[in-house]
Parts: sequence; C-alpha cells; structure tokens
Amino acid sequence: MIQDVLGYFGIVWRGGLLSVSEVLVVLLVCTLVVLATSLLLAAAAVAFRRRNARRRTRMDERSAAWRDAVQEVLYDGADASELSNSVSPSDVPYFLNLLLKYVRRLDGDERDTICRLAEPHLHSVLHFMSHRSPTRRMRTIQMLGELRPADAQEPVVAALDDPSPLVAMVAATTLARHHAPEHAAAILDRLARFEHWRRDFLAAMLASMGADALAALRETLRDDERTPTVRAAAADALAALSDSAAADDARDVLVTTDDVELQAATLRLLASVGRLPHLPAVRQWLDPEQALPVRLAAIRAVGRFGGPEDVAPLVGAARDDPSPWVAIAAARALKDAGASAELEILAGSDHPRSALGLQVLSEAGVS
Amino acid sequence: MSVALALLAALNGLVLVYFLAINAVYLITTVKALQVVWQYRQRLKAFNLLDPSRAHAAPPITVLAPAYNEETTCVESVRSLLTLDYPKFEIIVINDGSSDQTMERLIGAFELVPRARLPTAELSTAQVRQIHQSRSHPNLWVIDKENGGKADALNAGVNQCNTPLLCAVDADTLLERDALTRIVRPFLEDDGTVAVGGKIRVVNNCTVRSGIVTEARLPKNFLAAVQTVEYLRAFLVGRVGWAAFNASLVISGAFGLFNRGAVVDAGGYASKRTTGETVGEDMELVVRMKRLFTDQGRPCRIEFVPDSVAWTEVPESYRVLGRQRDRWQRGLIESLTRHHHMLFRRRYGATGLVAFPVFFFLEGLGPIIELAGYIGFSIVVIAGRASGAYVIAFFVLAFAIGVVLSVAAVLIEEVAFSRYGKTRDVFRMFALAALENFGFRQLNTFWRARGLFRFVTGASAWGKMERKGFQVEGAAEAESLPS
Repeated sequence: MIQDVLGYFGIVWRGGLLSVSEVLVVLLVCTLVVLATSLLLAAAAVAFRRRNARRRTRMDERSAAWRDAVQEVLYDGADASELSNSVSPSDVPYFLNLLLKYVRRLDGDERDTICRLAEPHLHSVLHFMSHRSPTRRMRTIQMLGELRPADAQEPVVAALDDPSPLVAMVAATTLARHHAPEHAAAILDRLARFEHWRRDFLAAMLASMGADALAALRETLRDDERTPTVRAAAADALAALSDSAAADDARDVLVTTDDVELQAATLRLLASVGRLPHLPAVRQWLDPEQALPVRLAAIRAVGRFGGPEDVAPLVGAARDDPSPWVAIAAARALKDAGASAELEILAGSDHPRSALGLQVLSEAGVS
Repeated sequence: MSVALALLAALNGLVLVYFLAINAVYLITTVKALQVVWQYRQRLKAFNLLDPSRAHAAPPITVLAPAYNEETTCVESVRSLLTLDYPKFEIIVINDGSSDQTMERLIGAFELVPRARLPTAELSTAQVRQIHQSRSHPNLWVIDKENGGKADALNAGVNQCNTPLLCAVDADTLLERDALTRIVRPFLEDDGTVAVGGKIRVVNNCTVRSGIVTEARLPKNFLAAVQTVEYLRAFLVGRVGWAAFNASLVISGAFGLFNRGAVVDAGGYASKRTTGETVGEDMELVVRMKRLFTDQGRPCRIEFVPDSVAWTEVPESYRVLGRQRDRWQRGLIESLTRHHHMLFRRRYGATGLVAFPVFFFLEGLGPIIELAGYIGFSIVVIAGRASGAYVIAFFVLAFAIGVVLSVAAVLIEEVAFSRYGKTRDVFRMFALAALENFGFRQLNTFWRARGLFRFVTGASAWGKMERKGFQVEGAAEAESLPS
C-alpha cells in the first residue's frame, strides 16, 4: 500500500527499503511481538496479584503471631530482647512495619519499649538511606525517625538536604513530630526549601514540634534575614500553639514588614494571642484600602479582642466592604463581640446583605 | 478516476499516519503511567501526608453535587457523601429545578430547613429559589433553584462555597470514604495547584453498603464490563500519563477537586449565562483555566490522583451509551475549538505543543479518520489496489495494539490497587481486552463520529442516563432504594 500511495503522487517505489511482501512480514512480526507482549503483561499482572496476596497473607500471619508477643512485652514485662532475637532476617521488614504501626500510636515508656524492640534490626535498613529510589529513602527515614531515639537521628537530619524535596519534607515532619527540641533549628533553617507547600501544612508541621520549639519559632518570626513565607509559617505555627509570648513580636513585625503574606500571618497570630495593648496596631489594617488577606485577618483579630469602639467599624465592614469574605468575617466578629443587636438590625433591614445578618444569627442559634 | 484513486490513496496514507501517531501516544503514556503508578504506590507506603497529627492542616472542602431528577439515588448518594472521612467539609447539593421528587426526598430524609446564606461569588445563574440547611447534618446544604443545566447548577454551588477548595461530583457518584484525604495531596504539596482529578470506577454489579462499595466485581453485563476495562485504560493510563507530563486537559465532571478562587477567577463553569454553554463543561473549565492562568503568568498545576476513587454507574444499553459517547465527543471538540488559540503555542508548554494537538487531531477528529479508514480500506481492497492479506495484517496489528494497551491497564491496576477480589474477574478483563476490538470499538468510533457531526451541525442535547440504582447488601437497605 505504501507503494500505491507513493505511486499516486508520482514517487516511484523502488523497493529500496522493503518490498510489499516484506512489509507484510514486518506487519506480522510486529503483531506477534505485540501479542507476545500482551501475554507477558497479562502473566505479570497475575504474578503481581499472587505475589501481593502472598505478601499480605505472610504479613497477616506474622503480625498475628507478633502482636500478642508485643503486647506481653509492653504490658506484662516480657523480655524485649527475646522477642527481638526471635525474628528471622527475612522477616525483619515485616517486623519493623508492625512496630512502625505501634509506635505511631504510643508515647513515653511504651514508645521507648517499641524502640528497644526495633533497635537490633535498624542497622539492616541504614544502607537504604543512600538508595537511588526516593520512596525507599522516605520509608527508611520513617523507620529511623520513628524507631530511633532523638540522639541517633543524624541520618534523618542529613536527609533534610536530600535532593528530593519530598524526602526532605518526610525528614522534617518526622523530626518535628518526635525530636523537635534537638532538631528544631535544623528544620527551621531548611524551611525555605518547602516554600511551595501549602502554608497551613507547613504551619501544622512546625506546630507539631510543640512547646519545646516556641523559642526557635519566635526567633524565626523576628529574623528579617529569612523569607516572608518562612516567617509567616512560623507565625501561623505560633498561633496554632497559642503562644501568648509571641504577641509583642507579632506586633513589632506587623509594623515593620511590607509583605502582605507576613502581615496577614502576624495579624492571625495576634487574633489568637493578642491583648488590648496590641489593638492600636491591629486597627490600622482595617482600612478598606488594605489588601484582602490583611483586612480579613485584622477583622478577625478585632473581633477576638476588640472593644466597644470597634463595633462600628465591624458593622461598616459587614455592610459595605466590597469583599463578601470580609463581610462574613466582620459579621462573625460582631457575633463574637456580643453585638447580636447590630446583626439583628442588619437582618431586619432591606440592605443587600441582610441575609448575612440572618446567616450569622442562625449560626449562633439566635434565629 | 485517477484523481479519486489518488484521493483514496491519500486518505489511506492519512489513516496510516493517524494509526502510527495515536498508538505511539498511547504506548508512551502507558509506559509513563506504569512508572508513575509504581512510584506512587511505593510512596504511599512510605508517607501519609495527612496522618492524624496533621489533620488540622487539611484545607476545608465544599463538595458540590448538582442533581436533576435524581429522586431514585439522591438520598443514598448524599448519605454516602456524609460518611466521608475528612476533617472539615461541607456538602452543597444543588437541585437544578428537578421535575420529580428530588427536593421532597431530600427535605424528608435530612430535615432541611430554609436558611439565609451570603454568596461569596457572583457567577450568573438561574434564579435560586431557596437555600436549605439540614438540621440533622449541619454541614449539609441544599440549594433549590430554577433549571439551568449542570454547569449553571455548579456555578450556583460555587457562589455559595466558602472554603478554599471545592469538589465537584455527580449526584449519583459514590465517593470512597478517604477520597478527599487522598485527592487533596497535590494542593498541600504545591500552592500552585488549581485542579486535581480523581479516578472513576464502575459500580455496576459491585456490592454497596451504606453508600460504601464493599465488594468490587466486574459487571455481568457485557457493555458495562467492557467499560470497566475502558475506564481503567482511560484513568490509569491516559490521565496518569498526561498528568506526568504536566499536560492534563481533562478532569472528570464526576469527581474533581478545584481551587475555588481559581474557578471564580476563570469565570466559573461554562453555561449560557457565563462564558457560553457547552456539553463538556468539565473539560472546558480545565482548558480555560490552563489558558487564562498561563496568559496571566499565574501558576496552574493540574494533577491526577489515581488512588482517590469515585464509583459511578455506567450505561448498560447501547442506546444510552451511544448518547453518552456522542455527548462526550461534542464536549471534547467544543472545548478544543473554543480554545484553539492554544494549539501549537509554545507558551502553554507541553499542553500547547503536545496534549492539545493530540486531543484535537487524534481524539477530536480521530473518529472521522478511523471511520474513513474502514471505508477507504474496503474500497481499496474491492478495487484491487491493495492485497486483502495486507489489509488483514494491518487490522490484526491494530487489534493487537488495542489488546496490549488494555492488558497494560489491567497490569497497572493489579500492581498498584488490585481492587477486584476475584482472580476470575482479572481473566475476564483480559478476555474483554480482546473482545472489545470486535464491534464495541467500531461502534464507539461511530458514536464519536456522530457526536462530531452533531457538533458541526450545532446539536446540543444531553440525552438521558437511565439508572438501575446500586446493588445494596441487605434486604432492608434494598427496599429503601429504587430499582
């Protein structure tokens, strides 16, 4: 057919590459290769299915046997080393997987006991820290981070500089959750690597470091050498941890920074922990000329700890701010400030936003 | 005569090029998808982003479920949505002027009461009659509005959405309980993410208990079973492959998660009251966001998450399936022609240079070329211009490639998810991978070509989906469901 097609356009097929019968042979060979590939893929699918089923069965069997033994070690004082030594080398991955499930639910002495059970086997996974597969490195970081004590976390700390950002994030979350006091500075120093992550997630990761990391977080918030995104994440983490000692820092940063993201984050922090002395610094951001995230955060802050003189601007924002988000926040702020009467007036009026008054009153169970 | 033969030869040449190009694309995306899904599966074992310690970092989500004459399935579907396992979510069902008992069923089942609610956006929609909130489930809202079509209903939901993310689902879709937890991942990892698609699986013949699929089975009905394999291929190969090249153009209307602000900035779903009606509002929105945000220099990442699953009922009759495929083809070509400006434009990256041309020339115009190929080859053989053996060899190769692509999709399913409990079902899928090439594939080509023809002639009908309802465990539950 190629010959025909070319012929119609005046191109003479001289069989330089293939004759028609040879084309036929090529087609048949291709077909056979493709069909053979199909058979191979089908066989692989069945093989995978069986392998996965076998692994599941094996894991279930081992887990069932070990579960009772782990319970005895945890609660009946049975010998941890005896159980640990009974695990055969081929079963180590299954055993560590089971311990990983336990350790995520435990704390204190029970957690230490699980770590003791894992300890003799962890050296066998250390070499995976340099494995070429990022997922294998992530898995290893999880095991080491969860099952090793804080003073043996050098490989996980080193993974904060892993070429894969996701592996670095796994290292950061693992360290943040379990070994924050020792490694908070290392995590915060690498935070700029994670700037494209969602801010809420970064703040939650930092907040999981807990009260031991408050000083480091405050330092990060104050440090104008760091990027605004990093400082904003620190501010949000401090808000999540309700760190009242950070309120003055938040005010100081608020009045000196030009970055909208950081302004909004410090206002959110003040909304969480601010007090009356911080109010003047907050009020200036209520102006409708300010950026939406900043205005929104300021409204919430004023609603949280504002005074009677703030009711009027809140009513104004609820009625007239061009952004429905600000209006909703202002109406809720009025509710929080106990100004239900203002909301009832709005609800009973023929103002275009009268529905907002009704909405917030119904949220409060008033109507 | 010689001109006609030359044209015929040119057509056959075009078919040959089409055949080589489309199969090359499918093979490349298959290989890429296999690699991506394998790595993804390994990754899932290693790291759970939203483990309980970080659950409060989960951004709130509003699930939008437009419903039009869904009295038979709406209550069960909403119950299923209410069982979602996600820290903060709200459900907004939009009754799009149903003429059946959809609204009454919802009011009765969920103790709905009228409530005021301030819109957060002003997309133009048909008139909203009333907004209701459930007394028994305060996170459930129902918007009762005049009929305006699916896109219009979704826009009414977008207007009432007050969370950063919104999830558009079909009212008859069953989301798996952890579907939101899984699909939100790309939004956590990259602030530039605007849309993420989830995987659609076929629920026909599966066992459903309290809105949850408890046993996945391959449908007994041939058409539904073939579509099961087709869906595996489309989602585990096509969507995964294109997303890996950062060139996704489609997110299924049955299940997708969007950045609310991005949807509003893009003008919402295409309806006659916004950017012009289309039967493919899901694809059109994605293409429009990609175009607009690239033009504005804004980040626009579109992702696909293969383990975030929604179950949907597929047609079991040729008539209904034909209408559906006809509509999908119209939606595809409408979206592409509306944004033809993106074709071969480097500024849109892989989307403009690769995905758009592939979708336009191979998927959009493909059915016409394929149909013309069947006719052209027949004439050539009858006219004695090509050997029958050659043509048969060509078709057998095309068939073999079709089989290998479907089998590869089944392999990906088994490697990563293995959702079908019975090995017999897997063998049936292999058989279907071969059988679909005899009749189903040609019919599908015909339906798609018809859709293309109707697009050219300006037809805009949606067609009606006939539902059987879900196969529910337990007689008591079965009684509460329509047949």
